[in-house]
Amino acid sequence: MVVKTETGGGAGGPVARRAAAAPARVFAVPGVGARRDVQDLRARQDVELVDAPRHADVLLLAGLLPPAWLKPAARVHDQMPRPRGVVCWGGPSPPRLFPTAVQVPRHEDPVNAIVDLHRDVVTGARASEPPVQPDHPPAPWRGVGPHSQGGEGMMGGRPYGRPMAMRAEARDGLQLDRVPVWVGPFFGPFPPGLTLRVGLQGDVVQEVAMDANPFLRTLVAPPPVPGPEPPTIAAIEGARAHHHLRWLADALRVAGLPALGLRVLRLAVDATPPDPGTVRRLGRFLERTRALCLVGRGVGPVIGEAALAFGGPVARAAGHERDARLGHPTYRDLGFAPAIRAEGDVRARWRVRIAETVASLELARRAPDRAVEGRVEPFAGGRIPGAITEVLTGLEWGDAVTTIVSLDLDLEADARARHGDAA
Amino acid sequence: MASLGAALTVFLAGLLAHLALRWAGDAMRPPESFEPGRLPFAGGRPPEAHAWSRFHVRYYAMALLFLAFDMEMVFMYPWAVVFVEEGLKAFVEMLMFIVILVLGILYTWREGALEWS
Repeated sequence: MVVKTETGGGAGGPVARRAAAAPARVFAVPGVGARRDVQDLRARQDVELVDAPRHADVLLLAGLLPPAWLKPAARVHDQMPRPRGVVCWGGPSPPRLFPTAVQVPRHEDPVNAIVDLHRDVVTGARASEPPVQPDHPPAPWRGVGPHSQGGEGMMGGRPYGRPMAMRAEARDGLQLDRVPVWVGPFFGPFPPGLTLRVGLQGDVVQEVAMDANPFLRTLVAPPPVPGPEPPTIAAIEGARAHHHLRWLADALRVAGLPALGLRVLRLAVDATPPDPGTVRRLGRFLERTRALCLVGRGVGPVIGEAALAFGGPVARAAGHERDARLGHPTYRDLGFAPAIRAEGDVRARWRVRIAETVASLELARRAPDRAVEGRVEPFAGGRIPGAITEVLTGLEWGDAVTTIVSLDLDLEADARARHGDAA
Repeated sequence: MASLGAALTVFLAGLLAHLALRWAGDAMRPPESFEPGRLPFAGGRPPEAHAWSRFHVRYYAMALLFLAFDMEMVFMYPWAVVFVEEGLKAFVEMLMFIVILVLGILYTWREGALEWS
């Protein structure tokens, strides 16, 4: 338990020194091109990435933030309890929102700066970051009476400044309250930038709308220009395996197996590709312990046209035999066969990705220097199709989060694909 | 009189422990007074609707069933007291009573009222 003290109260005392010795808890906001670097921080000992600003000591703004994120970042900063600090890792100098923030160049390691800031701010050597927003209630309300009592009625009124949730059809014919909730750009399990407006009845998602991709208004890095030499099997399949392992590390963490997720992350972060036997054993472990059943047997089905719209492993998990490597002569010579599942649920997607990782590592090991000409199967889908709203409607909230994680969405790739379509 | 004193002591000790813990908590971190800091966190956007909302009491069917069979249990208590003396006759009568109620359970099961969703 870390005890937070207001600066001046216990500053410099033994309690503050103990608090400063604990790992710095960081709420990280990954900007353009910073998602992997922020994920790598999870493997570090001195910092602990947390999912909510109320648990955080330090706010880390990594990379360039899209303009749509400035207000949410300000809100998140003000929701952090004092003493708090801000580290800007890359991004404009001076930072737009937090002029007194600690700045770390993008190419440097931010952990030392984070740890030093945490220690200084908790012991009182440095002042806590002041709030950014004005001290007004976000939804001011005043009733009609002299003591601010009374006012419009409950149903259709605005008690205490916000409208009450109105009733709508529930799944068994009853009329129940449907609460509209914005699950914002910095929600832990979601990919950074995904903002959904969900209409929740109890914990069932009854309607979903996806907000505009914030990375569309940013200068997204163009895809890398291919070199003169065609890429080798080792390069492509090794990169594919690393991508899937990074996805798996995050997915295990969201599924409630953070220690296992950390071990997979260490496998993914390592420059040399892991042994395919390791990943195969991991897959068998997940099967044997029924962890995959826990995650999602029959949950979040994405089948048929919707699966084809997502493409990649999502389509293969729904029984579609679509893989750009299928007709390719190099892969045919190596006896490549794609991993196909029929069920189309979360468990099938997990199984397909794990099987693809093992297959990729084996291919990379068997024929590392074989060149691959022509079109290559991408690691994950690019554009996020509109079918995502139908996929999520009707699921319970936990199942909806598991489904989104299993789809391996990436908003920067979506923005890149949309720019590519428009060009 | 002694038991009253003991009860009062326990009550006062509990009250003092409660108050001590609350004061310690407030001393360590007082409640947030800065208005924007009191918003709930859902990823960075402010809440759109009121936090007060009504939820389906989906367990009410189960609660009604429990009540009915709880009353059955209530009837079995006095029967249990006289059962040993009365012997087989009492056993058969209670069996008939329970069979009628089991038919009720079977009907409920068939109608799907025991499904959670």
